[in-house]
Amino acid sequence: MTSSIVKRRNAQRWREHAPSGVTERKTSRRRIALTGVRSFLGRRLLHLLRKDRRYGKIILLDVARPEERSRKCVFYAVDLTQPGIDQTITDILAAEGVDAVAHLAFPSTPRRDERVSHELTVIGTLNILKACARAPIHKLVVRSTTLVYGADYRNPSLLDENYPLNGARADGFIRDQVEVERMVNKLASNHPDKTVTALRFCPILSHHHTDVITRFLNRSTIVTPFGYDPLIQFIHPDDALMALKKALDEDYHGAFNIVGRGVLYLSTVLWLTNKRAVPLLSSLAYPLADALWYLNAWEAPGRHLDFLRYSCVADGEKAERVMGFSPRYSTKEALLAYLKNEI
Amino acid sequence: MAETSKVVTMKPKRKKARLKDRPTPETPEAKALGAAPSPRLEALDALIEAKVEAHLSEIEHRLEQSLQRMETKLERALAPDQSMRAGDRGLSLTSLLSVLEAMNPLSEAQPLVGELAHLLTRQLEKLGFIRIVGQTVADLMDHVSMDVDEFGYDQAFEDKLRPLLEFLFYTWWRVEMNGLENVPDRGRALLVSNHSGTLPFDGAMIKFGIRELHPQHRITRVLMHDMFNSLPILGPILSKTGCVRACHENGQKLLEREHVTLVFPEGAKGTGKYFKNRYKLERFGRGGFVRLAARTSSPIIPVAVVGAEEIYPIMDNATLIAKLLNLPYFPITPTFPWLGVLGLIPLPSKWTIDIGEPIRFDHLSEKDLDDDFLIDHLGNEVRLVIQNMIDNRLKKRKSIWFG
Repeated sequence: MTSSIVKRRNAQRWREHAPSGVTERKTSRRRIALTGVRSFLGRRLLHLLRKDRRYGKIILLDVARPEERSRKCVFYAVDLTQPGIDQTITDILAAEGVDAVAHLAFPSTPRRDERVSHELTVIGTLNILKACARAPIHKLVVRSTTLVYGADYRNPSLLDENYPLNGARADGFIRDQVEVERMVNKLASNHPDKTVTALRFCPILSHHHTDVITRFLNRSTIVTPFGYDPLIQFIHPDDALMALKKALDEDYHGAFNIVGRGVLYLSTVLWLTNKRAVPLLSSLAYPLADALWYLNAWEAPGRHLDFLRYSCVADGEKAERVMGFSPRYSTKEALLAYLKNEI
Repeated sequence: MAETSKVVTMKPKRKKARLKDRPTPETPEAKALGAAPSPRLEALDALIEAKVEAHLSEIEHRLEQSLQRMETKLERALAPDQSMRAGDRGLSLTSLLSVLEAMNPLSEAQPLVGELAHLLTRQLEKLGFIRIVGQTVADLMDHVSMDVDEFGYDQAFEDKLRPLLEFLFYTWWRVEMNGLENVPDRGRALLVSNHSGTLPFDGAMIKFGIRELHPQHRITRVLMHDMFNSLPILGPILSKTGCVRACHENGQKLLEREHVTLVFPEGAKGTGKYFKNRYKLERFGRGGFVRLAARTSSPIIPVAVVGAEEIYPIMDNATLIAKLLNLPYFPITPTFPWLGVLGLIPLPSKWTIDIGEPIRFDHLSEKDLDDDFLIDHLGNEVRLVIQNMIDNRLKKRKSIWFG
């Protein structure tokens, strides 16, 4: 029953994008440019796009050639942080006749050297956005995270897309992401003809992916602020990928929270994953985490403990209502799949 | 990009090993389509069960071990050995201690501390309140939340709090609830109550009373002050019992999901009220709750709590300490902070909770809702309704302690 519906829907889509005539069909296939192809999501997205007949050429913009090769893919060695690279990218986008750009080149965890991650996150995005503004593309999809809302006791239980991005208060890593959101938003308002989508993913749970929270979960012992038990949200990588693909297939303007359904308390997550929690008074835990971070013994700067202290739970209602994206796995199911080493 | 390449090269060995371990790369879509979510939940349950069982068997094993140890110790201690005969009185202090030690399961780690703790708890066990508190705390410490809704409400957790709440509701404050029929059997409703009592016991009692005595046993969701959310220990406990931070977004989402929602428009001004100002309602915010009710077309149900003002009579407010601890107030009562933790025991006044008839603001237009003056005025009207209910109840009340 459901599969037939899916098939029919696909057929409709096919008709939309593929008018009759073989020569026309070839040109009407979408051309897409990808950055950050070697990232967790990028690699999987490329795999999907390669097999999707609605997509023609895939232009890969990266510093090094990805492992996956295909006749469909064209690789350009591009360092997004290089000054003046935006002109090169504009030329590539125009010459290849690219319709849509998916920007996924972001560091997934903070770096000890904040400048390095700043260059890639902010300057890399700036260059891509400059190129997108000039080139005749009609769609840009940018990966973002729900960390931009920040964890705070003043947060509402479910953060929606209009809530101010307070994460900048926490640390440089998130501040950069917030800056990216601001720039993307500006591009969207300056170029109403282009569809600009920002997907704010909650932590993606996988052994092959390194988010801040998932890196915490890779440890056996974890320092937590004493007396707090925030709500945690995860998304299954398949769901994250589905949302990303959906944003590329169809046109949705604006920011969307892409989150798994339901929440779990941190204590439950730690219990299920068999972690030893070392609760420390907040006033001690923060400086300790900071010190450990600089000694290379901890996963993130001290301020990231905020996410183990207060909830930062985003509402996926808008994505469900507007994009028709409903995650197949809840937070709990994603965690279970993670525990079974399925993802 | 450059960054991602670094990540990959940082741990090359692990990465390779992992890639090898990976099964044949299925397409993620096909994988997701094939998987039905319900068996996963079952598997999770099984996992949890296995964990619990392992935990239980471990406890059993430990208990058995300590029992054995105790037995051997008792035998040794009671055997007429030299140490016993050495003393003039036949039973020396050391042997007495060793008997006590043998009887105490905690003795393994810290003999003296364990013994003292054991004796102390046995004395305190005679006081019902302490036992209930201890039992509840022990239960809550062991609790792992499994089923929580999107706001973090965990019904199993609340059930574990029940003995304590039951004691407070029926025995300590002998709460009398009137007008429960005004809480609808189904659908949304915004309960608006006066706030008092330093700690938000009034919220807990209204919530417990409705769950206990309402024919539909409705679960009330409480909008709480930011401060409680930021407090260690108390914050998570409140969150698990269904309290969320009081803000417009939360109120709206709770009401849209047809919950009975309780709000205290007085906020911290209400709970931090001086004893001399008891039962004089503070400003009801700026009437934001009227806007909330009108937007979600939910009835406002006034609630008047009488008795909670007397549980901690606030004489003064130590503003400097409050500022240092980042609290809205630091109360000075006749017992707190002078008696320390004992000063936290609330006084056993007699409570009455009156629930009034619903007030509706559905007729307000969007333009009216924009009018701050009107909304403030309507908020004040509701305040007067509740003040009236309180005054009426106070007139009937003869004694603080017996009602």
